[in-house]
This record gives sequence, C-alpha cells and structure tokens, in this order.
Amino acid sequence: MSRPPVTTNDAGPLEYFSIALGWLVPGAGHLLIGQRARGLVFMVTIHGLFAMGLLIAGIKAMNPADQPIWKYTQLVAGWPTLIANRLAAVQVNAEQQQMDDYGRAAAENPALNPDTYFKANPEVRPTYFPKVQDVGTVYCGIAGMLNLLVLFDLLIRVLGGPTPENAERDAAGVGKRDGAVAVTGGNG
Amino acid sequence: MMMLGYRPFFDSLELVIPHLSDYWLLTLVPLVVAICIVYKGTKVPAVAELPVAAGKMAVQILIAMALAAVALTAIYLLITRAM
Repeated sequence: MSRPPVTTNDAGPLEYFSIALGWLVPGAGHLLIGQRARGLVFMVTIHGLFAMGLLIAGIKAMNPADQPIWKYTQLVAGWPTLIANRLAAVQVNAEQQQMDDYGRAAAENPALNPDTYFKANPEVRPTYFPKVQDVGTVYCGIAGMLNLLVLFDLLIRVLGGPTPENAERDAAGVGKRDGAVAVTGGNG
Repeated sequence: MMMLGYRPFFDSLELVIPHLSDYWLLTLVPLVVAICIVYKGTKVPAVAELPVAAGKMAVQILIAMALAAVALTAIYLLITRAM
C-alpha cells in the first residue's frame, strides 16, 4: 500500500528524520518517505558496491593513510563505513603488533629473514597489495559519493523541490503544481 | 582454491586470486554500472525505466572511455615516435 503524497507544507519530523536515516542506511530514507522501489535500488546498489570494495581489497580499503580524501568520501556511506573503520583500526593495530614482534625477533637474531619468519608464522603475515587496495578504496569512496547523491535527491523530495515525476507531469501539462511539490509514494 | 586463513571482506582477494591486480581495469565495469544505476535512479520518473536508462548510460561511458584510451594511446605513440 502506498503512502499519500508528501508536500512542502506537510513535511514533518518523519520526513526530516528520513534524511538522517538515509545517511546512516543508504536507501532507507527513500523507503521511509514511500519511494520503495527507488529506495530498494539505492540500498542494494550502494551496499553492493561497498561490499565489493571490501571483498576485492579487504579491510585495508578503509581509511587509506596516504589518501585521506577517501576517508571522508567513505564516511558518507553510513553504517558500513562506521563498522568497517572500527574493524580496520583493529587490523592495523594487530599488524603493528606483529611487526613489533618481528622487530624484536630480528633484534635478537640479526640473521632472521622476514620471508622465513612470516612463512613460519602465517597467522601474523602482513599483506600489502597496493593496486588492489586502491581499487577497493575507490569502490567504498564512490559508494559514499553515490549516497551523497541519493541524500540530495531525498532532500529535494522532502523539501518539495523539482522531482523527475513532477517534471514529466508538467511537460505533459497535467497536475499543475500550486506552490508545494508532491512527493509520490507507491512504486517510486 | 580457497587459501587457508583467508577471511572474506577482511583480507584482499589477491590472496585467493594471485595477480588479480593485473586485471584491475575490469573492475571499472561494475563501478560504472553502479554509478549509472544510482544516477539514473535519481533522474527517471518511474523505476521501471531505470534498467534501460542505466544500461544506455553505462554503455555510453564505457565506449567513451575506450575511445579516450585509443586516442590517448595514438597521441602517445605519435609523440614517442617523433622523438
């Protein structure tokens, strides 16, 4: 069942809450204002892109130390970034600990070869695949930028700006708006 | 072959698929498709029009990128041969 149209005049707390929710869970804001099909498409696409980034690059796709701009673009993706950032910090600390352990072992035994050490201790093997990690970083960053685009679309709908549906209706010369712009519910 | 100790989403896929980075250009395709879906999702009046609109846009972008690559390669070859 579709929600009734929302106009500028009757956009209430729920509509404004949808913007915050849209940041936290990509696509959920559209679902909340009744744009179910559109919200679902945004949700699946943005979450999927973010997940692909992590699958390709691993957790090191998050917060690249040498490219801080991606940190901010990734943050716009909402909850996946908040969780992944936490896991990335844990991973970085664990690898630092492993490198410290290797440093101590190498100090005790100057002939120690890093290849031999990490082959003998595969569980502490640090990994570094810069090209693949860059690809994952870009995937997660673009997921954040796409969510920003979705948030702007949501804002326009909540505040009663020009939506594609209204533009099409205006072009057809039907349903002329009188100030407030309707945000249609239903199939999105 | 699944590598022992590989943790999906935590470790890089290159641990399982060696030399994955050699094919990084292919990773552009899903990225372009996702961008087109979301961009067109904000533009089309009805979601039913989305697959065609996003598909057209994705093909256009990929063709444009391929043409740009060909043009840049040609310019590069012209310059390096002239030197």
